[in-house]
Amino acid sequence: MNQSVAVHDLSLPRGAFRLGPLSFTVPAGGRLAVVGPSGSGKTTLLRCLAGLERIAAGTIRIGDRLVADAHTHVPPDRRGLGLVFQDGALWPQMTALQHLRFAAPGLSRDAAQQLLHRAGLAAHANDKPATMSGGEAQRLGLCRALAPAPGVLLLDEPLRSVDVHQRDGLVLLLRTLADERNLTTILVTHDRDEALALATDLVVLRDGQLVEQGPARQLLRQPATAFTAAFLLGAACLPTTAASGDRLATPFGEFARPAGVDGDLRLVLLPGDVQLTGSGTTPTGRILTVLPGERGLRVRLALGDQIVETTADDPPPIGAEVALALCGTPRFLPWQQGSAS
Amino acid sequence: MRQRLPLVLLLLTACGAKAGSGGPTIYVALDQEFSQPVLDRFAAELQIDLVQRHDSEAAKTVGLVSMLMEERSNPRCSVFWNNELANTVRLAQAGLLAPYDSPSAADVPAAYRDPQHRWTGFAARARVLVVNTELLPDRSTWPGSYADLVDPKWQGRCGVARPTTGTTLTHFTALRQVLGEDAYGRLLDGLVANEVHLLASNGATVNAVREGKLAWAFTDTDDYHVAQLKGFPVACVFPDQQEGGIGTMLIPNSVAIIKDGPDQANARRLVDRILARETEALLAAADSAQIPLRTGITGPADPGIRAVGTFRQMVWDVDWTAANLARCAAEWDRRFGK
Amino acid sequence: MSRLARIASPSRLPLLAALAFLAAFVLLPLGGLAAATVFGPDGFTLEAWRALAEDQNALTQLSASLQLGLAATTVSLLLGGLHAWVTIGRDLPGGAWLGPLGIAPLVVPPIFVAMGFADLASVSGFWPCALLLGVAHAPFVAVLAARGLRSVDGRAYEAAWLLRGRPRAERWLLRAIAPELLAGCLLAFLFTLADHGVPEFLTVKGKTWHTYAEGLFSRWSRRAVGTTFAELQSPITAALPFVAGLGCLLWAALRLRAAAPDRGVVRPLPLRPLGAWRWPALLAPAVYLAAGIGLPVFVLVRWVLGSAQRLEPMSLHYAQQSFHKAMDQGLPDLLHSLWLALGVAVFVVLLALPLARASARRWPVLDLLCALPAAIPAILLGIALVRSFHDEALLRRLGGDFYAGWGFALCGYAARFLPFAALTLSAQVRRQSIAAEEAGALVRRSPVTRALRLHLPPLLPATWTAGVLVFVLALRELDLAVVLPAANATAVRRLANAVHFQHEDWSGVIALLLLSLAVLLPLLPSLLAGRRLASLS
Repeated sequence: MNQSVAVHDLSLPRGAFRLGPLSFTVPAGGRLAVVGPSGSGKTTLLRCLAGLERIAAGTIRIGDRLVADAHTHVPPDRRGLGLVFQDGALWPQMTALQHLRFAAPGLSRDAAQQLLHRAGLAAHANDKPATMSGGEAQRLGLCRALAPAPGVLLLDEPLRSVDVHQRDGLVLLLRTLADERNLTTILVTHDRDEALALATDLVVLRDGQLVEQGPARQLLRQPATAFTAAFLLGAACLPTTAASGDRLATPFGEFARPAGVDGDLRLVLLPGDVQLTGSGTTPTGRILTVLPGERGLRVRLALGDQIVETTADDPPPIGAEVALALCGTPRFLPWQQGSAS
Repeated sequence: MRQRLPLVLLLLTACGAKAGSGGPTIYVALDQEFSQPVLDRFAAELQIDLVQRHDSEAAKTVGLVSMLMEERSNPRCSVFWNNELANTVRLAQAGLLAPYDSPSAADVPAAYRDPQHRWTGFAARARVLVVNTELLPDRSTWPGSYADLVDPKWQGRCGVARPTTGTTLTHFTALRQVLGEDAYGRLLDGLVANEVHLLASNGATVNAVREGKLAWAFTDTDDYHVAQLKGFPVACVFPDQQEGGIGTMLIPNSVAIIKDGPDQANARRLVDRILARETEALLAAADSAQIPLRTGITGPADPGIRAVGTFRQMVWDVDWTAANLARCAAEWDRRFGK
Repeated sequence: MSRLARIASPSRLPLLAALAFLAAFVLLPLGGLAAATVFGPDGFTLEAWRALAEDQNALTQLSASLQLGLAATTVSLLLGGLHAWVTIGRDLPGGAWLGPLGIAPLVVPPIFVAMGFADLASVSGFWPCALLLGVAHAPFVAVLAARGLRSVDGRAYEAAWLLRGRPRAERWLLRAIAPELLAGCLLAFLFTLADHGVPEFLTVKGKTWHTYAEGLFSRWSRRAVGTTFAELQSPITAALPFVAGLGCLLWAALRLRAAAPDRGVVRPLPLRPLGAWRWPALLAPAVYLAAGIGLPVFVLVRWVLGSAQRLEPMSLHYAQQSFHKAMDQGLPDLLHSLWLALGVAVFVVLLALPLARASARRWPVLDLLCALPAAIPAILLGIALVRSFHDEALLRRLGGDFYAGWGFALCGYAARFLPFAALTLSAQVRRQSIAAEEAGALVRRSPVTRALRLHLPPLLPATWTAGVLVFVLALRELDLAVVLPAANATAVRRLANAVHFQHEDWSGVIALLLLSLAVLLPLLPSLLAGRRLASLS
């Protein structure tokens, strides 16, 4: 039976690094992706949920059951969770069938075969992991996690060790199996596409802190922070400095500071927010790549230490310095929550 | 499987049950090949469950003595059968032995019995010269005294085990008492001057002689006898038999009861059996060719090994020797290094 | 669940039992020795240390031991290292067979090697002694070097070859296996220094100088005639810095080996042709195997046929007589040796598994504690055990006379050989995927089921290797056999005596049978399942 997951003020210090405090809720049957760059604490969070780490403060509830707080620690095997590990973490001495039968003692041989069949592993039922490809191993990892019919499925970057050709198939399998069971799913990943393919809600982490959370569509459409825009949308975020009056200086000139927003703001440039002007006093960028796009050619340029993207019909050759100009109204956002007041 | 570990640990204690299941325990320094069959027979005759522990030659006869000292606070041994005497006397002096006047020992010469009945000697080995008969075919040229060790005639051609332990230590300590400090000091000096080969054990000296590396050496009769049995060209000389000579040293086996050791009643029965005349006969007939201390018992068949009464014996003070073993060993270490 | 209940939960009992064993049979005896030295009436005083520093005998013995250790290790490196170098990944004729045989001399107790050498030549000098000890311990270098060569990534070698040519690539390869070579050398060095039985045996053959381990035993056995506490404690005082140094060395050796990453899945080394040396190189394994196995076996066979007597020529008839005598004299001791070695192997593996997991996953310091007994001359460990357990009233009440029984011998041997199993297994546990174990933690199975089905199977090859190693080492152990009461009745102790007493004929038979037993267990998987002997390394 699917269950909700509620995390409240979860906190775990690890030397100089500190995860949390974090709070979020995933309703029963919900799909949440925790995203963030490497070292942001995603996997640690997942391990706390799974019970592989003890939390220092806060609470974790699965359904209406408290599974972890500062004094309580329900062991992993008593939480009713399934976990798909990053690199499969399969048991080298067992065949695929044995994996499932060991993970779910009550699972009949036929049911196990059936599950393997669903995952496209019927031919590998009696194979050991060493003979499987990365994609097959990860499918087996998924089957193993699903075999005991968990209420919540945790996924730790499940597509990382899978080659690009097998990704779509695995995504489809994950979605199909999760949908059939209406599973509550929590995925951690640093890959935006993986997150968007498998989740409907997002939590964005950076340095152990929660940057932003909400429905994926909303975060994609209207990110509240420059960090989210950069991470999810590939935006370039140029620093700004205070100019005379209530204005902000940027490489593209001075602009009025948005009303009611103080502190450190970044000029956020989404793909298409700049255009090539040929010449002028505007900032210049060096062309890095030119690729075919839906509307003309996609041009990526280096602007300082940031990468901006735009389209052009007939761009100069790669390596050329070109002048850039803003299109439309500039967008200013704080780097992350709390960096602006 | 791993779950059963604690059970295994508990079972370990049961592994010791047999050894402690009653009956006496004997520590034996005499070579196992000779002593075990004899003791097996005695145990069967006496109908006792006898635990035997045999010494290692690596310990040079004092391994079990050391063990007895270690175990002093909780003795495990009932009877100690030593293949020499001085260390048994040391144990007596250290208070580890219980007095027992065995009726079987009544006819053992008084020199080989403790007046306080803490130990009794029987079946002895003699300290003899083993000669390579291929190198020295003429009997008239054979050495005949401890003094030959320092005779320039034998410079670099004779040997003796280093007297740091075992019967050689007992022998040299007794020589110190018999010869006096000055003569003993001259003997030690002479060993160096005469380039006497100082080997690690009596076995090593016999090996060196039987293989022709040395012309002759001091050793025990049993070591000589085994080499002789195996057909090596060796002969045996009982030294210092000349008029006024100090005589040949006899080092008997000794048997004693350990104070507070297990099953003292059967320990006494066992001691009576070991001290019976028959044991001396058995050991005389065995490859170790021990010399019976009592008259009227058939001695070794080897004519080279003489019976008590047919040769001049060295008279030595066992108590003095035992008390001075440590001093002599330490002095040897100081002079020659271990 | 209360803290106490968690600690004593069934899943932790094996670890608790193993820790209890470590405390009782390693820390307690050695701690007792150290305490007696420090707190005794004539104990830890500057004068005692000064006297020790001025004791020329002790210093001479220490110096002799260190020199012997270095010389023997050099021999081990030359023989064992060269054997692996020319047989692994080469086109040496018969290399596929000769390579795995590098481990074979390990089954020959060093005392047999000594007997073999001593029977044919004078071993009274320093270099002959170093040579035979080097031969006896060369398998440590051969086996670890072979392991190193098998785990090097062939692509990395090929990269070096392409860039710098074959000779430079070979030098690169030598550097790549340096940790394993060093570990093997350290093990050979330690075993040489801690060995008491072989140098002592050689004294019978005319050796006139003494090693440190001999000195320890001699001082201890002298207590029968010496009386002062200082005299009693001096070897222990002398042993303390030595033991600490050896402990660190052993730990370093085994950690070095463990640190060499497990590169088993990489491409093996390409075949490295020996060129013009193809046939001459056969000399290296030939010399190594002849010295390590051939010579001892040859001498033993000669003994059995009657070489150590002058009454009749060597003959099969004499061999028959030798065999009958051996059955009469030594069969019970041989069986005791077999059962003891098997028991020790099983017991040590059972102890080592939880300790290895704990040290690999939680408390690395356990590695160091486990390493301690192997760093100590076995004779000193034996003395420490005797002192601690001869008067153990609790065990006596529980189940009879533990001290005098086989249980004590089993525990003593287990303490001595635990390091090899525990450190081998902990290195293996470190190579296992933690994530796969965590995946097991999510499964609703009992801890015992998880241990048996998930944790143990990947360790089975290493467990088998550790068990075989302990079996062979236990079968050939002489030093502890001299001191521990029940272990007195083992074949190796009997053999050492028999040779002293000139019973070469029947002791040769026992020795050959002992060798056969030592070979049988390692060969068992090959015989039953066609498993390659190479897997042992």
